[in-house]
Amino acid sequence: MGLIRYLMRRIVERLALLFAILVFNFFIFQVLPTIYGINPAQLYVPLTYKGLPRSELVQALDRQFGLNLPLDERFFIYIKSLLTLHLGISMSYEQPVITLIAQRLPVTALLVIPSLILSSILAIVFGLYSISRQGKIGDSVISFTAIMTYFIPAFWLGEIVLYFFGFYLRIFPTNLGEAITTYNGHLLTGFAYWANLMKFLTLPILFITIISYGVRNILFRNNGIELMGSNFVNYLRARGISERKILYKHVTRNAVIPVVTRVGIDLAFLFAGVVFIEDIFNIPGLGRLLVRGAENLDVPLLGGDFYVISLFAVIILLALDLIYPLIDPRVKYE
Amino acid sequence: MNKLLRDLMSRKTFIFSVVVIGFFAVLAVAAPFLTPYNNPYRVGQQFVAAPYAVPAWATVFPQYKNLPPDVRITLTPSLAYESSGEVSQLNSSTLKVTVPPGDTVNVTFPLRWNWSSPYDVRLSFTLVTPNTQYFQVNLFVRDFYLMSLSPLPIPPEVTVVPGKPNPVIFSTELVNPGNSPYVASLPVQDQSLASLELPKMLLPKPGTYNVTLSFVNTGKTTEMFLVTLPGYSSLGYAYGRLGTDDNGASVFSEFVYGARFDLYLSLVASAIIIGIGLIIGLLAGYVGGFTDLTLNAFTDFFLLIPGLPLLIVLISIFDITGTIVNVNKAVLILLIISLLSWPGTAKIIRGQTLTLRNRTFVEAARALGESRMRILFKHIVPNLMGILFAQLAYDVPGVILAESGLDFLGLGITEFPTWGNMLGYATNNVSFVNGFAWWWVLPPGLGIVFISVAFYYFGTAMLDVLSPYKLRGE
Amino acid sequence: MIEGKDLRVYFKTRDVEVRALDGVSVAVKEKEIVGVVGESGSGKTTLGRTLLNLQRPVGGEVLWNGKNVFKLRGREEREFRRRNQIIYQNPYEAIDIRLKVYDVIAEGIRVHRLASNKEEEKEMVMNALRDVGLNPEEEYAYSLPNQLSGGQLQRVAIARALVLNPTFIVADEPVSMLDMSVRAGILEIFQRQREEKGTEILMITHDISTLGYIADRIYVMYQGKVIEHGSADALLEKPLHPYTQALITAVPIPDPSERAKLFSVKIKEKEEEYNGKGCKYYPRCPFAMQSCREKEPELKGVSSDHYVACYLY
Repeated sequence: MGLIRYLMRRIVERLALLFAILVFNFFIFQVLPTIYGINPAQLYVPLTYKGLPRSELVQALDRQFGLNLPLDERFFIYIKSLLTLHLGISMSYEQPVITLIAQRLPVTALLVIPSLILSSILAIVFGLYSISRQGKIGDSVISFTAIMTYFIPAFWLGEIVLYFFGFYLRIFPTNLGEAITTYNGHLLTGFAYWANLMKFLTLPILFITIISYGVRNILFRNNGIELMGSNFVNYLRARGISERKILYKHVTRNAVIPVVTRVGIDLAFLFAGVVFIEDIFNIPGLGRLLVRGAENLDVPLLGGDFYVISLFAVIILLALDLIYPLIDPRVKYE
Repeated sequence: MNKLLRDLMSRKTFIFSVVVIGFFAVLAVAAPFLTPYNNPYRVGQQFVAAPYAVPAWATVFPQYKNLPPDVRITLTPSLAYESSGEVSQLNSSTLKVTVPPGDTVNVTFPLRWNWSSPYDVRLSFTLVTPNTQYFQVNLFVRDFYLMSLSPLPIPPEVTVVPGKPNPVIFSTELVNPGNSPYVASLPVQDQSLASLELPKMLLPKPGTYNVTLSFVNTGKTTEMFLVTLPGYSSLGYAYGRLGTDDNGASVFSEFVYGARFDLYLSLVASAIIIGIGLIIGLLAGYVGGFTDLTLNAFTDFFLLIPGLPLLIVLISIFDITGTIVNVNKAVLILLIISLLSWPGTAKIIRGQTLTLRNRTFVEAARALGESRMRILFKHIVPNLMGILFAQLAYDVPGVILAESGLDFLGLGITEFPTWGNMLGYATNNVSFVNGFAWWWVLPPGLGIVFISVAFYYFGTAMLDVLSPYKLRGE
Repeated sequence: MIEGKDLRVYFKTRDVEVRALDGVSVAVKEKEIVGVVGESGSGKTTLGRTLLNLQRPVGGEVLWNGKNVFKLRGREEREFRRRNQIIYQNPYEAIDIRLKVYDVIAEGIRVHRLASNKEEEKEMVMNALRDVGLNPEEEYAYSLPNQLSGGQLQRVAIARALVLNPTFIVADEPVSMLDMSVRAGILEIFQRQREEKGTEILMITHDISTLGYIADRIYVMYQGKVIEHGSADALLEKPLHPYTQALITAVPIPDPSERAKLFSVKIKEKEEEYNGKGCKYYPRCPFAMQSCREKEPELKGVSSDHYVACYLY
């Protein structure tokens, strides 16, 4: 009973959020230009396209998408098109936005998921070390490094890393195209393709790992240290359970909960978080698509990409709401 | 108050943060006194040295050892002329050269050069020629016949007006086959490279090189020339505290003005964030009920919209409609970042307000007869001080990083230096060809990291010291 | 004179409704110290908070000198707040430890504008400190709460209340957090206050022995109800309700052989499940009868100063 009520409430909440995002999209891409007296069609039209004059293009678009209709009618059309994933056609790529997104989504996923796993493991391993040597030099060094990595501008360190490992030491390929093709330009196949692809992705993955590691490490460490001083742990000690077992079994299990939350949130904003890395390492993922859209003022692309990123975040957050009580016994399905 | 200070001073991390923040604050405030270039991205303030000049102090390292600084000196003739009657000193800065008919007088100015080749070579002097058509003045450096000045306009000769003072400037940057006999003598394909190659040929390595002015009188009467002591100047490959960027602009100036802007922007933005966060968080947490529900949903919505993509979208949209919006880009970025960053702060303040509101001492205050407003401002807000200071400090790095990210992507400020666009320009120029201009790439990045860590530690210290109830925010 | 009539306070959690007060009537008459005793969760703290309008009841009213306190507004409300004070169990929680002791005490003076100038305010604060036995008062006035011991801080909390010259004080377990050695000193302050100023006091405690020293009348609460009340002497000497008897038996007595002389209480071996309609105590009551399971007993007078809600009488 409680479970179903909880599920329903969460779903309703997240749907409301999704609706809010739709409205927000409509506001940015339709209402805002109208306020400033710009025909939204003008945003969608490049200066010239296939030699046709701009005004003709605008009129054609107006007719096709009903952009000159009153706002309330447009609202329903807009919502409907977003819900059915009719995101329009990118001006700069001359392809449907949804196709572009579908192509790029796996690339970004390939980049983010391995680093998500890797950095969580690192965070916990180093966190355990920190907790067991609390206040000693090792702990201080690890904590300071973690805080540093949190504040290092990703784009900056990325370029430096790319320069040294890619250009200077030439350990990793720096260009995706070169990495997955043979010398005479044919696409590699089979194992060689995947091997080279992973070799190319190693550097960005390592890099995302490093910059996302800090927060999780600090969360885990601080939680662990707090737990180590708690009565719960004192009680375990009093029962004669060894420090090692307390740390690895009881403390880890509890301290890992905020890390899981954090990973979930990171996952939700996965596509948003790697914009810089994709830009630097020249990886054709969703983030780069967004930057391209911004550079070319490609409004359909911007709108579609932004919508899909938000949609993904909402879905993941909902999933997280549902599995969270399984991880943390203290949270009940209210 | 003293106890507070003692508490703070006993923390190493707090002292670290104060030192770092203080350092950057001094840089930011004293920027106009530290550097004459207030916007090195403006063309007029570029080429203060060669592009990619290393910092002056870097010459202590062996690989930069012989790099020349900017040099600007007035050359003096070699001592041998003092006794001769043909060349005499008119005043401290002017020489009088008397040339008999059909004769040539050479005046040599030794140039003591202690470094490897400079970026360019410039020589300038003022020449008063006799009022005839029958003369020529030639400029040599070592054996290179760089310039020929004559009253007759036959390229590669350069025209001078007889009987008048003529300002003469030679610059390796400006040479072409039409104004330099040496360049004209080169094979055609090499002529365009002369600007780049000349400095290396004129001043190849440390040593003393002769700059020679040769006065030729082809007339039938003795003629007199006046010439000022030539000024030598060249842009060097070692410059200032932090060298130069690809445009030869001072990186130190960029860094200092970048710090000034970044600190200013982030503090203002943080203040706005705290302002919005405090109002919404307090309202939600203290009033509770339906107000809380509404505000909380509102906050959640903003919290869950992916920030960076929205930032990119908004900036682009504003760019398109910008002709009408017509606000300063910096202001726009400031507002957008602030308006997108408050939800986290609001949530934390709401949470703390909630826990404070339910504490016994708040009920005790009510039992004493205090009004809701008085409780809010006497008991709730003061107890939030730690959180507020901490949030203020935690928001600063966030704002700096967000702004830098936009600048880096080229969507933000491009007209004047910020740490973000410095990083963007610097890293765009990191390539195999240009090498790694560490003096340009590292300072803004390290600046961001250090100031962020410093503000983080500052915030943490404030939180610990100012929160008697050990409230914890993330 | 403050009087609560048929007070009902229900707290709703996710799936259960807890009846913290379920039709409780109490009265504190002039110059009286009234004790409320009960185990934790019996609603005694809620009772205190409701009497002072810190908790709104769903039913019932509190009359202060004949006026319903929930309807007081403006000047009358301020006057009510001033004249009716509360002392909490944990002084560290009840005092904004950011403030100096002086400001803690002066807070009420400032709110009610009792002092016309700084000197007067200072004098009032210092007098209050002296009254609660914090000497030298200058030294205490300018120290921070976390520099004081629990007992000292509780005295500060009392001073904060007394400085307003209250006519009624709710003392919610004022000594239960404190060391045995300082308890008597704190209780003495209340006694003296009653004797010198005639202040009415509602003393909430779970320790019935404390009340023996100080209370004139005692209410015994169990699960949101008053199950027995009467004059302290009558109630302590001849407890009627099985629960009250159990409470008194539980008091440690220096000489255990004495205990048997008082009375003996049978303990029920196994608790029953509550059926939702009978006497709240029957699941634990060794004397439970069929009637106890069917309907809750009403308070009945067994003498002029002794009432009990139990079918045994």
